[in-house]
Amino acid sequence: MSTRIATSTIYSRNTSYLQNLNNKMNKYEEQYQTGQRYKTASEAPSEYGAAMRMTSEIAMYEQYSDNAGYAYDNLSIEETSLSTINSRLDRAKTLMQSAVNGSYSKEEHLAIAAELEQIQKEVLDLMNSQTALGEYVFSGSKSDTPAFTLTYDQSTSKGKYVYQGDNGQREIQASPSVKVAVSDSGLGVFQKVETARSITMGDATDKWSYSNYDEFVKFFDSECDYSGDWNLKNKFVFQNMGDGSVTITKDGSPYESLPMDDNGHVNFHGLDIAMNDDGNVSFRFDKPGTDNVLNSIQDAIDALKDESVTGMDAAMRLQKAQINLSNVQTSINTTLSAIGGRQNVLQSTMDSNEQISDVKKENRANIAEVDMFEASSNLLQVQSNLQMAMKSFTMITQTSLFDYI
Amino acid sequence: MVSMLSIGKQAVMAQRSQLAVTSNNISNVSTDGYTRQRTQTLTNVLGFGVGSVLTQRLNNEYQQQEVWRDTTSVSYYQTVYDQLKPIDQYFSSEATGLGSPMTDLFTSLHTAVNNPSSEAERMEFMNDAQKLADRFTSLAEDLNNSQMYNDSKIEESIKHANELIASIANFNKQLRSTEDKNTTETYNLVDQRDQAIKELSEMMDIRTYQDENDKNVTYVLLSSGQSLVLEGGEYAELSVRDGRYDSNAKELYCSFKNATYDSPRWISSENLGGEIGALFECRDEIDEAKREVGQMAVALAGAFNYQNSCGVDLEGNMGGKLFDTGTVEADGIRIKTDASGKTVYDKEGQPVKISSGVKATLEFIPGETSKVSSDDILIEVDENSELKFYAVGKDKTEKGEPLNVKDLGGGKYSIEDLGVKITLSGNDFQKGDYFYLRPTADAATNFKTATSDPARLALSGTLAANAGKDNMGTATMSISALTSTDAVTSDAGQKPAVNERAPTKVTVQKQGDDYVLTVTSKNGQSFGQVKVPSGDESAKENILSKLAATDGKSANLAEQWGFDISLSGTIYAMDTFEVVPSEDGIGNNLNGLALAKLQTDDCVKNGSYDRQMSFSERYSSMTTQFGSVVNSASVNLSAAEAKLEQSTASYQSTSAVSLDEEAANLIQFQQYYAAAAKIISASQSTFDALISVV
Repeated sequence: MSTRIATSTIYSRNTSYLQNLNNKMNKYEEQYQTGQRYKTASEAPSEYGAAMRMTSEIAMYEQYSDNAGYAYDNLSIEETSLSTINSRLDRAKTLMQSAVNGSYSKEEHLAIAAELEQIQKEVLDLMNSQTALGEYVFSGSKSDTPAFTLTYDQSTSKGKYVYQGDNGQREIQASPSVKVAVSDSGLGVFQKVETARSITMGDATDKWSYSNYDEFVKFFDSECDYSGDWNLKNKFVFQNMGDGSVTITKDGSPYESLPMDDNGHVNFHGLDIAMNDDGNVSFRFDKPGTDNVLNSIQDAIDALKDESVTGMDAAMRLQKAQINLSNVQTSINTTLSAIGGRQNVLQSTMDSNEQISDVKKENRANIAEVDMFEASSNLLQVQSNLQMAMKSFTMITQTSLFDYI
Repeated sequence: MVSMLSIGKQAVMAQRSQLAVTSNNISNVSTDGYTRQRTQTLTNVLGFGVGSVLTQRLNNEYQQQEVWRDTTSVSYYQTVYDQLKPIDQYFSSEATGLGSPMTDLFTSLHTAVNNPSSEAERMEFMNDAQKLADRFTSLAEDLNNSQMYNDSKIEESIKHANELIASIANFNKQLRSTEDKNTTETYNLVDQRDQAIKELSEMMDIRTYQDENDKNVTYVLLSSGQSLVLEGGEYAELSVRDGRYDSNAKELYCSFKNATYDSPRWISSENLGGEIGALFECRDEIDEAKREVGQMAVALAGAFNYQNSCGVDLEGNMGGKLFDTGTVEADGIRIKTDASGKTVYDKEGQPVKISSGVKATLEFIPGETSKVSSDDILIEVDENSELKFYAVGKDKTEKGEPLNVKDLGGGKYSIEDLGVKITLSGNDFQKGDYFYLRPTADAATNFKTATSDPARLALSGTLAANAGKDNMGTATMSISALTSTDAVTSDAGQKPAVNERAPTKVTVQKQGDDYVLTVTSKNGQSFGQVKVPSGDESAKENILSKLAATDGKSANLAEQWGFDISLSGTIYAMDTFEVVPSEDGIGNNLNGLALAKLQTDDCVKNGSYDRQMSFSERYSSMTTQFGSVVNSASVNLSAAEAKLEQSTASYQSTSAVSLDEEAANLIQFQQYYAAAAKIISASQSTFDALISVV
């Protein structure tokens, strides 16, 4: 049995069919134009939400990569500064050594002092290195202040280089879980560097120098008493017994008896002590301390320039300066290897950030972006459907019995 | 002869009415609600010729009611889709959503953190903060406009529904008084009444039944059973009133015209269906969207403000607020009673509400905004004159269990689970008094930046560490963790100062070959010692976390005071170290890193659920959530449309006009008419023949 079809049904059916096709056409056209599968979340809520999350994560990882790149550049500046300082200090040490060894004339000493001054200036400049944005690399958190500057020291009535920064270390976030330090405070690298273990003679005119520094350090560390008042302890008294030997007491107690060489010197645990005519020499351990390399170089320069400083005194001061320079180099090398480690971390973090970001981009494309071939074929198909529908609509509605009566 | 003429006359008349009905059908082919009619001729029971002519209305009630039901669901889903689609678009679009401005904010924050002393990078952050604030307010404005539009639509639809209900009642009255039940005129009235019912079915889900005695009269009721058009000529009038507690909410009431009783009664808008049911539901959805966007605003402002207050700004002062979300307060409401204690009603039958004179002010607890829920908070005075606090979500009529509240004294209450503190300005409480607080509803509207000064971004940490001047060792001390400002006593805008009771001093002592670190406060309290075996570098790291807390609840000192310290380098007996406030550490970015970390931290609750997530996760889940509502409306809409198309076609196959059929009928009845006319002309010629014979 055939169904009775009302005239209005024919029209409404066809209009809704055409409307559907038009909507589809509109949607496919938009996909084709924008390359995006969805325009709003309602079209595919969970896919759209996932794509949104990925978009924000991709932006985040790109930011992390920027951070890491910035950190890498900063560390490179620091690395260059430190390596250059290192090589300049090598040169300074060589110069000092030549002054200790050789029987150089005063003029030659002045020439060495002049070169050391030049090195000191270069090292100061390098310690006050700045980034492209004008921040001082080694000033810690006080990045607008030069790390080191020359000031007048009341106690010695001389110039003294002081650290003006603080202990701040800046970090950057290189990935959600990785934080990397992008700076090292000059306090740790240059200022808080152990100075040579040293002694002070009871009589300032008595002379001494190092004969074996490492041996002395061992001796110092095993003998030094840190408790109580420093000025009442760690005093060694050398008594010339007149028979070619020297009896030594420590803080009043007999300690050791040692032979004296032909020049009247005693080799005491890495120290070369010159006995004086009184036959009575004493010294105390100096408190261990820290200082920066600029002051050490300055001391060497002063010793070389001062005509009154000769022989053992000059040698001792140049030895101290060399030891101080070596200590700084150790500190610099430690920092350099830390920087190398951080750069490795940054490199691998950047690589993994990039990979994660690529994976997320691909995921997002799979979820939310439309394949161009698919989009264009969809568009063509719905277009031909629409043409067919329009044709059939006119065909159906054109036939009416009224046309024939 | 006479009979031939009268038979002819009857036949002509009969065919004329056939033709008239056919023409009527043809002319009403496009009339809404028109039901096709058909005439039936009966044989004359008294003699020759055609008898009475009966006009029928070809209507199938079952099909008709199916169409009405399908109309209701199409209109319901269409309305949900139309009302909520804009919100879906606001949330999804790059140009109106919060996604890209939030990403931009964190991007410029990262850049500023990398270069903490650069004003230009800080300015960029401030610009992005302003952009985010603008986006929040414009999104809130869009939502407010949607809500206003929705509200006015509710009013309009209710008005339209009332007109339809009245006109159905009116048509029923006319139909009941019509004498002739089977005329085209009566049928036209029925058609018009049914058209009104169909339009009413767009408004809400209705059921109909026919009068037992007069099947032209139809009564209407809601699917819930609530009568709308009653047998006694009474009919309902719907009205919208403010919510019971939330004056901002809307509730549906119904009273009766022509009835002996007219006290308005509450009608659940749930399952109401149709346009009105959808509008009420959309209202709740839009309100939820507003509260959830507000929740984001509160959580974002709270997280940034708190973290910024934990740091030091470019000028060396403690950081302050970066964003502001306005104040949240509500007046106490009391139901007015007369001298005998009875509730006073206004002339519309609503209880009269007056202010109780007490004001409730809500604050968000700093650092706790990740607990803030999108729910509203209702405070009600119970029969024992005690205050009960409730969380009210999307369903405004559901109160649930009272919240866990701590009475802090002095009219202050804290709800720690929700990260809020409430202050009541008085203690004049009567049973039934209530406060309705909306913590997050207007937060996005009021969201703005609290400063535009780039220096106010507190990127630096509050604490720094010094080594003693006379230290023999090379060791430096650093702040290895900084999680709160407990160790700092200053307020926003002041220079930071170290808390005298905090563990800030470290002294080194020698014990055999090992060292011992003694930790004390500035005012001399000792917190114990940490042993450093010689050569053990890790023993010098995170010193405070190795000491017991003194507050009896934290796991260790570091947790108690919110920071930790580490030493690196060699130490000697008598070396000292001290934690000091950071001064003008403009290159310090310790707090900046913590600010940037807000991007991935779980800073915001998932609506009212006890799950915290990051801002971007929350925003995408919010977008997905509203997208799903619109998506299911759109899927259901297509299904309902297909169903309606089908039921309409099947209804139309019985009741609507087919022009081809009418054309055939026209030809048919024309021929019948011509034949009938021939009877008359035959009787004429017969008569003429007779006359001429005579």
